[in-house]
Amino acid sequence: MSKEEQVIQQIVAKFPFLEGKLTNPYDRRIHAEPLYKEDFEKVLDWLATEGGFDTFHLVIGFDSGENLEFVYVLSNADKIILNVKQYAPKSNPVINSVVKYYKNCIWHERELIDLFGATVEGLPEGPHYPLPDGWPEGQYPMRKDWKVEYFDKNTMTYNPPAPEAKEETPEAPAEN
Amino acid sequence: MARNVLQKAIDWGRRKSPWLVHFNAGACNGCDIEIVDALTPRYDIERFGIIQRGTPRHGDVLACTGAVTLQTRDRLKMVYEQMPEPKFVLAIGTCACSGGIFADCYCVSGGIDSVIPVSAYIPGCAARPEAIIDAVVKLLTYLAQAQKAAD
Repeated sequence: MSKEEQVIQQIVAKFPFLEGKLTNPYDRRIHAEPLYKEDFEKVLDWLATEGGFDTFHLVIGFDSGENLEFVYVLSNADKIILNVKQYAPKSNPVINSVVKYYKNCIWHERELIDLFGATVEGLPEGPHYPLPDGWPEGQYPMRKDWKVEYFDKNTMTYNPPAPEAKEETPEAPAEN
Repeated sequence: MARNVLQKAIDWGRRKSPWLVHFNAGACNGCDIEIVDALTPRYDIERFGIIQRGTPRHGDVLACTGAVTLQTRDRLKMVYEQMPEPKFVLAIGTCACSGGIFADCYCVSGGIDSVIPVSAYIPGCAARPEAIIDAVVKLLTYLAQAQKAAD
C-alpha cells in the first residue's frame, strides 16, 4: 500500500464522514472535498496536532457562486501535499483563523479578508493587505460579481450601473 | 544666444556620466535583474560613467520597471518630483511601456506613462541588457544632438 493510501485510511478511520471524499489524483497529492466549518475545524485540528501535517503552504480562495471556498494546502514529513477545503457562505463568510496551528498563515488570511471579504476570527491585529491605501470599504475584487469595468482607478470608487437604468444606446442617424 | 562655458561644461558632464535611479513600480523582478546585469561586469555600463544611485536627488535618469500599481502611483510621482531638472525616464520592459498583461487589472493604473512622462520605451519581457544599453546610448545621442542644436 502506498504512503498516500495509508494517510487516507488513517484520516478516514478517524473521521468516517470523509469516506470516499479523499482522492489521490497523482503521486504525493491528496485532495479532499469541501467541508463546512464545524467538520473542517475538527479535521484540521486533528491533522495539525496528531495527523503529522505540520507544514502550511498557502490558502487559495475562490468564489463558487453561493459559497466561498478556501483551500488550505498542507504537507507532512513524507512530502505528501494535502488540500483541505472549507466552505463559507457568501452572505456571512466567517471562518476561524488557523494561526494557532500554523504561524505563517497570517498574511494569507489577510489576503482572504481584503480580496474575498471573509471575516477571519482569531487573527492578530495588523495592517490590511494587499490592496492599495484608500481602497473603498466593502469592495472585494476577487468575487465573481465584482467587475473591474465599474471601478474608477483615479477616484477609487466602485460605480455599478443601477439595475433598472439600462440605457439603450441611441442609434446613429442614418446617413443619406 | 550662445551658452556660456560653464553651461557647456555641465552639459558635457551630464552627457558623459548620467546617474541612474532605479524604481520598481510593481515589476516581477525580471527587468530589475536585467538592469543589475547591465550594470555589473558582464555588460558593464558603469564603464560609460553610468552609476546607480540610491537617492532620486542625485539622479539624472529614472529607470522604471513594471506596471504602475495603485499603491506605487503616488510614490512614483513623489520620486520623480524629487529629481533635479533636467530629468529623463526610461520605461524598461513591456509592463512599464504599456502595462503589459496587467494593464486592465483592478489594482494597476497602466504603464509608467500613465503617471509621469517617459523619454524612452524599452520593450521586452524581460528587456535584455543589450536593449537597455541601446536605449541609454540613444538617449545620450539625442541629448548630444539637442545640445549641439542649442549652441
